[in-house]
Order: sequence, then C-alpha cells, then structure tokens
Amino acid sequence: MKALLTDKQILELIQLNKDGGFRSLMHQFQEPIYWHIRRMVTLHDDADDVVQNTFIKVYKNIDKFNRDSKIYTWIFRIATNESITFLKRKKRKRTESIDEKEGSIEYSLRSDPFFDGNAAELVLQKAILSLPEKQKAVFNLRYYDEMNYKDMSEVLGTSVGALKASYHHAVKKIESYIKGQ
Amino acid sequence: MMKKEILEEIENIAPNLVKIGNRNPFTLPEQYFENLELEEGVSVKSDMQKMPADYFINLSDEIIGMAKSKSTSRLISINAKRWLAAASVALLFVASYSLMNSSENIDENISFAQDIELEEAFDYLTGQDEIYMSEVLAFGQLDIFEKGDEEFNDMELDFILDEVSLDDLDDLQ
Repeated sequence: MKALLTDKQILELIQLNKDGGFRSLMHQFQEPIYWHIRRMVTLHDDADDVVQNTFIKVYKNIDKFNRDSKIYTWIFRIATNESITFLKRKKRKRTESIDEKEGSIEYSLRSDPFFDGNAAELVLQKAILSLPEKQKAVFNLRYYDEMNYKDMSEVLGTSVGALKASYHHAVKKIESYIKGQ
Repeated sequence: MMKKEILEEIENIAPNLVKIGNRNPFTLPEQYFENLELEEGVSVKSDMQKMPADYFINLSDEIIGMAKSKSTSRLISINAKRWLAAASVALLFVASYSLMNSSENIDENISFAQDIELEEAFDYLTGQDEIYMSEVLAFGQLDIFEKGDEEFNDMELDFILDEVSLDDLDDLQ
C-alpha cells in the first residue's frame, strides 16, 4: 500500500529537489493516470506514449502549478487533453491509410492479448469507442474512475450541469448501442 | 463493485449497461506488478505488446530525461517559428529556381519542375517522409502568421511544435 502524500508535501519536495519530488509525484499518480489514459486510447503501446507526454508536461509546468487546484485533477486534465489530441491525430492518420479497418482501435482490441473482457464488455468498449472524444472522457471519468462532478469539472473545464447532461447523453447512446447488438 | 451513487444515477435509463458493470477489462502482463521490485533494467518483456516489468520504476527517470532533452526545442518562440516557416517557403523557391537554371536545357527543366508535387518538394526540404500533406495544410489553417504569441493555446502550440520540429529544420542546413 502506497503512503499517500498531500499536495502540499509533494510541492515542498519538488521545491527542495525537483527531480526527487517529481519521482514522488509520479509514484503517487502514475497508476491512476495510466489507467485513465489506457481507457481513453485503449491500447497499451498508445497509452505508453501518452503517459510519457503527459508527465513531461507535468515536469515542465509543475513550477507554474496553481496551488488553488488539486494536483490530481490538474494531472488528469493534462492526461485527458493529451489523450484527446492523440486520438484526433491517430484518426486523421488512419483516414489517410489504405486499410482503414486494420488500423482501427476496434480491430486491434479484438486481438489485444491484454484485453480480458467478456463478450458484453467487448460490446461496451465498442460502444465507448463510438463516442466523440470529449464525451468518452466524461463517460470514463464518471463510470470507471467514479470521479465526482466537481473534480470532473476541474479536469474538463466544463460546468457541472453540462457534464451531467453530457454523461446522461453518453449513457443513453451506450445503452442504445448495447441493445442493438 | 460500482459505487452506489454511480449505480443509482443510471439504473433507470441504462439497465443493460448496469448489468455489464464497470470492472476494468484491460490487463497488464501478470509479471508486471509482481516484478515491480526487480532491479532496474531487468525486464520480462517477451513480445512487443508486453509492458516491461520495470515500466513504472523507470518511468520517472525516463520522463525527467526526456523533459530535459526536449526543453531546448520547446523554448523556441512563435516569432522564430514564423521566420523559420517563411524561410522554408523561400528555400523552396530558391531550390526550384536554381534547379531550373543549373541545366543547359531550360525548357526541359521547367517541365520537370512543374511535375514536382508540392508534397514531394516539402518532403525533400524537410527530409520528413511521415509529414502528410493534410497535416501541412492543417498547419497552414492555424493562421500562425496572423496570431500573436499569447493567442495560442497549448493544443495549437503542441501541434505546431510536433509537426515542425527543430530536427526537421536542422535537416535544411
């Protein structure tokens, strides 16, 4: 079990020794951030790239971190933006490739040795893949990460009301997709 | 087990989704968590799909190294980028002009130059095969020549910096 440090402790460690403090920050957040990114981009190799980009940004900008926010929502925000940027870029490249089907995440997921879901969970993942990127982030943060709306609002920079509406809409779309299978 | 508040929120509108639940269906190699205590550098990676056993152990050191090595390329200002982009276009014209004038048969070379696709010329100048034309066009659509530095958001800056890296510009020299 990891001993959790408070935001204040992490920031003090970083002030004393940036690299050492940053290692403590990573130790605390790398696993939840990895899983959030993994659910966004689906494949491990892609998640690995996005995790690196996310923490490079964190390292470079930690000095400018606004202490009124929580470190974890700030990192989740960077991770979500990085994931969305990655997915858009990947989608753009895929539309240019000759064999669109083979390059799709859905196709890769079926043969992914690190997908352990049953048939129903595979259908759910396909339904999630059909959502627009930001709605997918809203759904994942609420459904899988079980984050409260206030923190989600900080992560996504959207009002709580808009998030509730977006989540409700995403759930209905997913339900409809599952029913159709 | 799904939190009560998450369950209550959707049980009426999505009964089929509730039945599936919110278990994480993704996995990592079995050895991954077991080998977290391995010494640095020891890996159980047996194929390209698997994550190294020391993935999280070494990740912070790798990130710090990458952040430091990338810092110089990130410090370039947008004004400098504008100059470099303008210089690339100018170089394209100079290259085309000198190509046409370097041969005895001017007509033949004009015809040859007309056959060069813009994408090929860009690839030639940047040495980057993986830069796709749509990205070059999208780069243009960001209106970088009309915006001030302060008007760029992180996503636009990253896009510009990722698509035209300093390495590409070094290849021009």
